[in-house]
Amino acid sequence: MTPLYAELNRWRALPFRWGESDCIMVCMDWITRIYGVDPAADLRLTYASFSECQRVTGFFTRPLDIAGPRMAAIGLQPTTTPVAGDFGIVLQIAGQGVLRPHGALCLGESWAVKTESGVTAFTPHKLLAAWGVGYVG
Amino acid sequence: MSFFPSGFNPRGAAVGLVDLVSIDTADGLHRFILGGDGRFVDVDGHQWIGCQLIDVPDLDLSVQGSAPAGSLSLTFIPDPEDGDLVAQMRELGSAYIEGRQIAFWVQPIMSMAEFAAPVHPPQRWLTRFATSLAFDLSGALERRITLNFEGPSVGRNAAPMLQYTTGDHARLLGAANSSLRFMPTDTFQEQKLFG
Repeated sequence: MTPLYAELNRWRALPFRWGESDCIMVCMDWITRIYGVDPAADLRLTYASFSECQRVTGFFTRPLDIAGPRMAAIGLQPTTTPVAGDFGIVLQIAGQGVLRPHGALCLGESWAVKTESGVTAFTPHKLLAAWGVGYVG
Repeated sequence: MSFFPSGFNPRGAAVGLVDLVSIDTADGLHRFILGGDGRFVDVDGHQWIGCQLIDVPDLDLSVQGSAPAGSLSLTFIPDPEDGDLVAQMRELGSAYIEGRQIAFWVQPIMSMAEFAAPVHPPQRWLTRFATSLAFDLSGALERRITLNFEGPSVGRNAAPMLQYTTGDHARLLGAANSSLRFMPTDTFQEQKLFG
């Protein structure tokens, strides 16, 4: 099993916990593992619910404002041609016409996301931004 | 007599039990740690592999005439570059495991050092027999392989449905036996024998 899929199986075994193992934090775990620097070290365990996440990070209204500077700070470059292992922010329908941003991991053609009900992969409604992580499968 | 080995105090200040399971297959015995990752080598040198992807729902004991069934499942996200594990298991078929023992064990632990250098051997507490394999597409990515098993006393609390005939007698004994060939088949009496 490649490290990328081993990581997805690790995600699967983790309970969904806001601020610890939510869709963004598990992607930050992956970046830390591959790149060696944790872009979200100051955010971990600072929120514990959906509403706290929005209050602390503003992620659900301005996802790129929180993700972009942190990626730039550790030297990850944006990419328009993401490959397997790259990190991205995707927009996906969350029921009743609501689009919601998610932290996601590129699998090649689809993007993997950790949600409250498990780990899933899909072709996102829209890819807001992606950063090359440097994973070589 | 205690279930635990001598020298292990289950009421001690530091007590740990690691859940283990061994699965017998046509290829030999495979040993796993339940509920945790890692690798554990027991006092006999057997290696137990931990995997959080293995799930065993509550296990029941065979008490009061019940023969509880159960299952053990591996839920995972397959790597497309790794081959199809589900297809490989399908190819092996249920003959690979059917009727073979699944044993549940606990490893007594009295200190952190015993994770690396255990003192006591694993204690077997439950034995089950594999019956079938099932496969699920449990999500967009997930696949699940379920190993179903049942207790050793299945059917023993049900009527055997055998008659007093030479055929059923042979079935019961496992060999032909003619001793019931003159067995009366009704209770009609032409005349009273007594009174």
